[in-house]
Amino acid sequence: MRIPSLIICLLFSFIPTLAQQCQLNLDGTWKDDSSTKTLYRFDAGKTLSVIAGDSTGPLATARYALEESQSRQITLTSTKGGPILGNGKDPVTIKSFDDTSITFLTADSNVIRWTRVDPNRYFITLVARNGEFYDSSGSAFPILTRISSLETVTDAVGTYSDVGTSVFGRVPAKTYIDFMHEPRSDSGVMLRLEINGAQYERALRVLQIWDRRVKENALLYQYQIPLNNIILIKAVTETLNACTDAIKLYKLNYIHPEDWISDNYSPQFIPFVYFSELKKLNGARHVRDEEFEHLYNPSAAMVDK
Amino acid sequence: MKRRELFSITKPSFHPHPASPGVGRFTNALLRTHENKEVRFYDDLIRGKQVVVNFMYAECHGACPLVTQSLIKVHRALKNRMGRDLFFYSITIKPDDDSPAALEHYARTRRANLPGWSFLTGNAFDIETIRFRLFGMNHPGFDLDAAMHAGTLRIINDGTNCWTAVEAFASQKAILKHISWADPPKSYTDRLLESRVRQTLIDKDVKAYGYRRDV
Repeated sequence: MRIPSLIICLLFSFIPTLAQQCQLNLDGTWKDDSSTKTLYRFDAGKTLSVIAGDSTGPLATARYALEESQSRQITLTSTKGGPILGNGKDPVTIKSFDDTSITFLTADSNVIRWTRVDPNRYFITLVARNGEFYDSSGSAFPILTRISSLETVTDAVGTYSDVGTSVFGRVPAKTYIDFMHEPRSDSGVMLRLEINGAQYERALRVLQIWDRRVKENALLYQYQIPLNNIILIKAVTETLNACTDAIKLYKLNYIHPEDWISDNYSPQFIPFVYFSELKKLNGARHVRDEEFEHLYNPSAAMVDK
Repeated sequence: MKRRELFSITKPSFHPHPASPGVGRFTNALLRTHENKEVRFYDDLIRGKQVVVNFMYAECHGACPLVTQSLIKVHRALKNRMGRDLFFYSITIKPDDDSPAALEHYARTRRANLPGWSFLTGNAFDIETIRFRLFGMNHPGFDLDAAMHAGTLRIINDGTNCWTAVEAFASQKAILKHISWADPPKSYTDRLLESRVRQTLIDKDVKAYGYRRDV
């Protein structure tokens, strides 16, 4: 490497990559790990409520303000009932957090851990096939599923086959429904993982951005369409690990020789091989058809967005 | 008003080349300048013009100020053209952090608030699209790394549909040469005049050294 090139690399080395960061999201319902019956709910209106499992109204409420300076702190002002967190006067420090839990440090040095309560279940299904298109590549896309007691919502964006033609965009329900079952041959691959609400929201955001890119003719690669799908699947899978190493990831970073997939395969085949590698790495966590089918309501999923 | 003044305030008209990719490639994203003025990326900034585009962000204390300093020198060398038929656009890669005010502060502190030079921000979606459309190398490994794009100056003349690029840390002479490659075609008289000047230099060299040096 020439010296000027080395200097440029060093100078630009601290330009941040646009990777997703783990973001604190207080909104929602939480339970204290040390108590099973009491629930705490942060709402967007900056109110924290304490709810007992068997009571109708909140036992206590407080207005809260989140300060994000050097350390994240919550200041609570009681509006009903006694203090909720700490002594009710001093701010409470957020010691650590991830997608599903948050640990507070009160002014009197008490450590309190809350876990998120979410009645919904979330899944990501990575599916790909070979031999569908003229160059023997095929469909490859992630499917996101949110299952609640009332409805099943499914989203899928990526490369799919429309009567044998490769199309990149939101996958129609009639197409993705065909991919919801484990493949019976080596020409298909599927990895289905149960994820949490925050992972689901982040992954859904990636799909929504790509759906918008397709609709607004704002694809990052206008002519090399398979490259868009590579960036999409890379972003969706990497966003799952934004807070913790939730899944074992393969580094699709185009660095030789670490990334042997991009070294050896053309762009249109990379998603298939990448999903196959993720299946190998995370096979133990794969949710099999038998477990998934009793949760999944296909009729709800057929509602195409 | 004198006739000369009347001509000096008339804005030049910019016409895109018939083969220009136009909005389809450049996008017509709504951006905001450091002067807090709303602009459309293609219609207001690119259409028919010769431009130099680079990426930076206001809180960057390493490479960006050096690139800006390099561009200031280039601006000085081309000051007669700046804002008339040549424009510099520095687009932030951190639009969520860089408001027009932050960019104005950056431009002012670096003494880069010069005619024909706009610092631009917008929404992350549009800026990422523009970054890939202008600097994309059809290689996700390079393109996902914003640093790869920040080290390059993209030179475009939409009037002649000419695209070129130069390393941001290249010498001033190299940057000027790359910009000149995208210059609009000169008239026959101008080319004749330039050739005469060059020939005089060559004749002088041959007389003094017996061979032609770099002119």
